[in-house]
Amino acid sequence: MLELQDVSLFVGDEEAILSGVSLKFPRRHFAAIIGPSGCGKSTLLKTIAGIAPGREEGGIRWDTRDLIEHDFAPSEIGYVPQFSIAHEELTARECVAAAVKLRRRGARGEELETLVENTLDEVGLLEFADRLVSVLSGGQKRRLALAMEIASAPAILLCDEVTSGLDAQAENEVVQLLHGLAGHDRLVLSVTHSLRHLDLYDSVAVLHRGVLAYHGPAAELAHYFRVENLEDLYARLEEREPADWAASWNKHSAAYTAEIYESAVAEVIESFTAEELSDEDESAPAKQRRAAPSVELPGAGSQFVTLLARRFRIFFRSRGQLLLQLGLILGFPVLVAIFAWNGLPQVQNLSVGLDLNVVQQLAEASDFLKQASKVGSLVSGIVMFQVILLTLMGANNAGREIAAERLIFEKEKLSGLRCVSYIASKAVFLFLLVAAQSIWMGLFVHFVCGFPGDLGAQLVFLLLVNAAMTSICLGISAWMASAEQASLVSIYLVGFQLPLSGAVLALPDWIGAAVRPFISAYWSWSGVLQTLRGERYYDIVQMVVQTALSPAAKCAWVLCIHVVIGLFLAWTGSRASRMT
Amino acid sequence: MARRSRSSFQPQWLIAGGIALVALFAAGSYFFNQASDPYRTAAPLVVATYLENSNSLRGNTYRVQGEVLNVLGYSPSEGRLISVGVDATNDIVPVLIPSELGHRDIEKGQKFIFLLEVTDQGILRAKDLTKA
Repeated sequence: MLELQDVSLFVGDEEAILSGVSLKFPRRHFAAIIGPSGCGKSTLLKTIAGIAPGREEGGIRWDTRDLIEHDFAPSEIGYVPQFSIAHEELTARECVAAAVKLRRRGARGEELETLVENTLDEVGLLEFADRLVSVLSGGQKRRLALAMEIASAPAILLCDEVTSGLDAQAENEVVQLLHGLAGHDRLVLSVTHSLRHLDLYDSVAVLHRGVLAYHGPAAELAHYFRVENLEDLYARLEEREPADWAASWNKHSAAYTAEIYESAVAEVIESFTAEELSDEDESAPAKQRRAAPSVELPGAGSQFVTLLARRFRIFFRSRGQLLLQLGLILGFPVLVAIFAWNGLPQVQNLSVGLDLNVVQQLAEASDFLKQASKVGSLVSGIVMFQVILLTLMGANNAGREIAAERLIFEKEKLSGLRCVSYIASKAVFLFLLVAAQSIWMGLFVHFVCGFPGDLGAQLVFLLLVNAAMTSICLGISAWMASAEQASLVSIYLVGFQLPLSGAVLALPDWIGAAVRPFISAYWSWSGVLQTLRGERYYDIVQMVVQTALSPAAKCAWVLCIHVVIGLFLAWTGSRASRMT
Repeated sequence: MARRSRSSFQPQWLIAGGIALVALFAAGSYFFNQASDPYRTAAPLVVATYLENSNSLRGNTYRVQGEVLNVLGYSPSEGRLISVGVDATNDIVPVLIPSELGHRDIEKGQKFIFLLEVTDQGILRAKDLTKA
């Protein structure tokens, strides 16, 4: 039984979104939560799920268990939100298989296939199993969401406006489906704006501006609210203040809820053995049994593998993303190479003897400075151009990575997905992308332009700057509210790299010292230039640039710290709840 | 706060993580700055003392960072004698690059860190050098 006792929810300036809501729902029950827009229906559902933002008061119990102390196990609860929880690039079968693998320990092989088939069959989606989500109809997508949720056989299924936007037939089918799902020893609560099909529900709860105005059989609704037609219900609610409706309901509730509550109380009694009832203190095994989830979650490693496989599948199915990546990987190195297509020019050294007169020395020094300035700027510029393009690729890699699928991730987190598995899967996928981009960039410039220096060390610094920017942008993606916001901030971050690196214009000392630790481009630029130490170009670059270079080991160290900071930010950001 | 948010993100983690990373950065910077100078254990040459009485420093080993100014002389058996502008004091000192180090490309305007030994004749003889 699910029991809400005087549940209130306050947000912002202590404004009550829900006020003193008390409800009881037995198992094997199908209930609708209805009310006008903004009455708190979805908020009530989120409060039950434990994801409503704000300060909660009152108590929520599930099978006599206080949820504040022992929350729902991930497999106990299914929550179907208003938004799509499936990746458009996958088929319905792949979505359900991924949901099963993320939620059920040991699901693989034939057992997995059978489970997926049965689940798809249960929601009537078997014949569309191999269709991409992107081509499914609205009703089919809702069915798919339900299939993914029942994959862990939850005892309570919360559905938030799952029929909104559907045509009459699709709505009918989905409500019938929910009705069927409630028959499997499961409580199904469905928030809906629609007043059609109310006769299919075992009970209906009516909310009005955060207060409970009614909870009882659908057949008694018209009588209780004194309306001839249920379509007039919401207009009728507006005729009285919420407090009046709450007071009225407190007065008359017993008569309407007796049947529901009797069923609920019988359930509670069933759940205790005679022995447990005779003890004042509940026995430890009984407590354990109530707290134990019915389906065991897979390990973090298993979830990581499932997510990584799914990420690669999505990547290779997204033709646009694939072409963009190929374009960047192949095109950006060409952009760099055109500045030194025929190799780097040589510089004539200054005479080291004392056999030139002052005028000759000055003329030679002047020529040398001109050449050194040109060649030094070219070498420094080619390195910085590679670095900046790689930071741009890094921002493109990760800026949208989490933010674009945040709602799906939040949903999966609610179903037991571990943040560490999620971030690890992102890190590995992005690292492979980063490696391909950076190594190709380094090799192309080295061989096409004949760029000198230690190639291995150069590849390390190019890879590290791309990894650092990708990692930081992954962190940004985890903290931003939307994909657009995350992309914008990531691009701004790249924009700051060039001017603040000091590679083009020297910064005032104190500004340079303050900002340089945060500028990945500087450390990579400096690190790559250090690989030229054995070359004449190193001295020439040092003559031209006004910003001091740092030791190679220090550059690698700082870039590694940037990678760690980014992953740490991504992990903390992923733990913060964004399902509002 | 939502039930599920209670056990999720703690702002203290960000603060603790930030402090840890600043400490890592500072420690790494110090360590790598030290490690990047291969001659950090050698004492810096006090140019004024050397110019005043080079004999008093005979047999000692010092480090000097500076710019190559000119080649003052060359002998196939002895090596090259170059003039070096010392960064720290703007003084100019002569440095002998022995023939064993003759393979090193040394050009006018380059900056090096020299590991120098003061010979019995009071000459600054390079034992090793690396680009600054």
